[in-house]
Amino acid sequence: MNGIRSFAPTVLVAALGTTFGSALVIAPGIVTEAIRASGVPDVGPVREILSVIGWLFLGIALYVGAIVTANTCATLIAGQTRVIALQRLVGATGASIRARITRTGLLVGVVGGLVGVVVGTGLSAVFVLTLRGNGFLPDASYTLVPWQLVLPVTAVVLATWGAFAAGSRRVLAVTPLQALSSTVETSHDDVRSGTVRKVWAIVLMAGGGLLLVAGLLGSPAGPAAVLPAALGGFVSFAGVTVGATIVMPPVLQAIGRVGSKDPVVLLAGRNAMRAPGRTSRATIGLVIGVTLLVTFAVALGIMQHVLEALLGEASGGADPAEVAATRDFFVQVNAVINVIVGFSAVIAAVGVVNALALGVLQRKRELGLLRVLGLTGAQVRRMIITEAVQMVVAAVVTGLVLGIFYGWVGGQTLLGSLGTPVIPVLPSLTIVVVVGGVLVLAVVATITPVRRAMRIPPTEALAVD
Amino acid sequence: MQNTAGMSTAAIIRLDHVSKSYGDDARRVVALDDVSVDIGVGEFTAVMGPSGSGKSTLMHLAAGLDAVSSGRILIDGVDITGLGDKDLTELRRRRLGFVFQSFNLVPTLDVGENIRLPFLLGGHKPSSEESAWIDRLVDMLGLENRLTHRPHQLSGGQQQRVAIARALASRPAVVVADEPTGALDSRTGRDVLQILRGAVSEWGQSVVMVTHDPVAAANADRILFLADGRVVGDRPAMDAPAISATMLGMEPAA
Repeated sequence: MNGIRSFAPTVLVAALGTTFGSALVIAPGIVTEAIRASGVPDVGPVREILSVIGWLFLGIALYVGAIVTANTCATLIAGQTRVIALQRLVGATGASIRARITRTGLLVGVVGGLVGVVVGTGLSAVFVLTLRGNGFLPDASYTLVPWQLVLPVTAVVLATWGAFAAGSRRVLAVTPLQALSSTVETSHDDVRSGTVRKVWAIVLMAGGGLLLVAGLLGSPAGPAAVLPAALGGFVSFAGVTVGATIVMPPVLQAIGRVGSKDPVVLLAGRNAMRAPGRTSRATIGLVIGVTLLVTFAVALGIMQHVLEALLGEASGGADPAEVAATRDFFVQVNAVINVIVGFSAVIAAVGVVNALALGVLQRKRELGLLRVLGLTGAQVRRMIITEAVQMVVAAVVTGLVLGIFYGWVGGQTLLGSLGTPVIPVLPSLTIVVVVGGVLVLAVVATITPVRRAMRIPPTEALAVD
Repeated sequence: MQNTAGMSTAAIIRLDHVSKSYGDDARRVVALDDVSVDIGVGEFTAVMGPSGSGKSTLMHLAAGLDAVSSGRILIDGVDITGLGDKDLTELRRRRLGFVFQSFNLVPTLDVGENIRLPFLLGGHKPSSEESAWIDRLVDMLGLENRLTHRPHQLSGGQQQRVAIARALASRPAVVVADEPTGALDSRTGRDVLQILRGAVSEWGQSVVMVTHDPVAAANADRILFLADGRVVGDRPAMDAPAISATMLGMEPAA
């Protein structure tokens, strides 16, 4: 419980975050140097704008990473309840154990940060070399190691440390007595965590919702209506993420019911609701990723649609070349956003993988029992895969609904004054990215857990620990 | 003592020269050494022995939970030694019922669902006749007001009653019980044993119980004593003091 090794899954999250951060810090410098080399003198503002956008997306990735880290930390601790209880029994205070775990978090952040910065710089170097090789970038000298690299590393270390401090709160709830009890399964309601949090979530969602309505009502007046709407979207979505444990359980429960006549699906669905808080937090990162992707995609799709309609009206028949050009432009913008937001989704995917893998490790006895009572090895495999699919589908459905709504509000408030009817359009590229990504995730996420679960012999149920 | 225990005419489980060893050639641990024994139909058989005697291994093998190193095992007339995972799993689901020391209920299912779990896993609903049987079991075990409870809301004794109801629900050929009273106080332990005893006496349920508790074994019709991977004693029903004395007499002279 003390070594960094037991928290290995969190190192990966920290490393991914810093890799992304390093790339975002290095890229603006490269772009400005390339522009300068091609003869444009004043490039200060370009760099500023790129940096701000980079930090915005890095902030989102860090937030997702922190949720994943805190949740993984809490799950690992839940699985170690007896060991911790034993330490409490022989005299360790809850606070001292928690302090030790938090210190490990600092170490995890530093190790992950250093790995990430090396990988991020290396990838950037490969990228620059390739683009220079094929003549896309002018032949100039590029700064691959700017001093700003310190910033993402520091941010990741602090975020990881903070996430461990939050995730290790659970240690305080372990009593020395739990070392003595023979029953394995402990509390089922891990959602109770804080009415303060619930109040905050509701206040944010309601306040954001009001701003969204205000934006929509003001949309015929002019494009400025997008400002309250954007703020409302941001605030209400923050409410959704803070209140993940309110929003996600009903969705998970509904999806768990689909096909639950099949015993394997029933067991998988019930398992997702075993610790609803944990499952909610494991999926919310993915919800954030999908919502962002879909919001941008829908907003861009609407803009493209309206623009094409206007072009058609203006020239009394659209110029095919012009239409093709705008289409190309939107596809490119959408692709760039997919890549940048996709990184947060990858970090979130690590959270889903962790939740599944730890879930299998922590219920070996129960899986053994099901094998004894008549679940075949093949059914165990199907059960774990079903769990993954249920979690991922819950996240995607929530993200799609939120994203289409936010994207539509964005399009409506920005372009509503033009009088063209605004209907949400979901670009095919986004559908491909989301569906493809989800399929890959569901498969990848289950490889290790399935292998572990299949290796559990029926006799595991009879072992007395 | 000879290592071939007495063969009764009708066997629900037959072990035929069964051995089980763990580890590689260099350091082999023999857990069960050429054991041949029949578990009789409609009998309450107790398997006793000190820890390390091989009684757990015997039960794992006899219930098709682990593979033999050599020999043959027949459950209800079916040779299980050559069966694949799917067939073996199905056989466990249909022919065997299990009761464990640590109850082992599925925490995400309620009491009613736990009792019907063998049917659930088989993918079919209990027939009306089977449902009536389950209702009778629930009634008999005093669980009718607990059906919608989750396992963690029940006491240890109640959880073990649910486990027994689950084991009996599919009317298995034989119920395998592994230290069923090990985690219970003596009073609730006695209740659990009486339920198992009743199932044997009233409708001829075959039960095999592994235990190290002479009081528990005193409920059995037949007691097998194991030591060092061999059957060293095969006795008809005895009372607890006699069982204790037999156990003490079997302590290795060394």
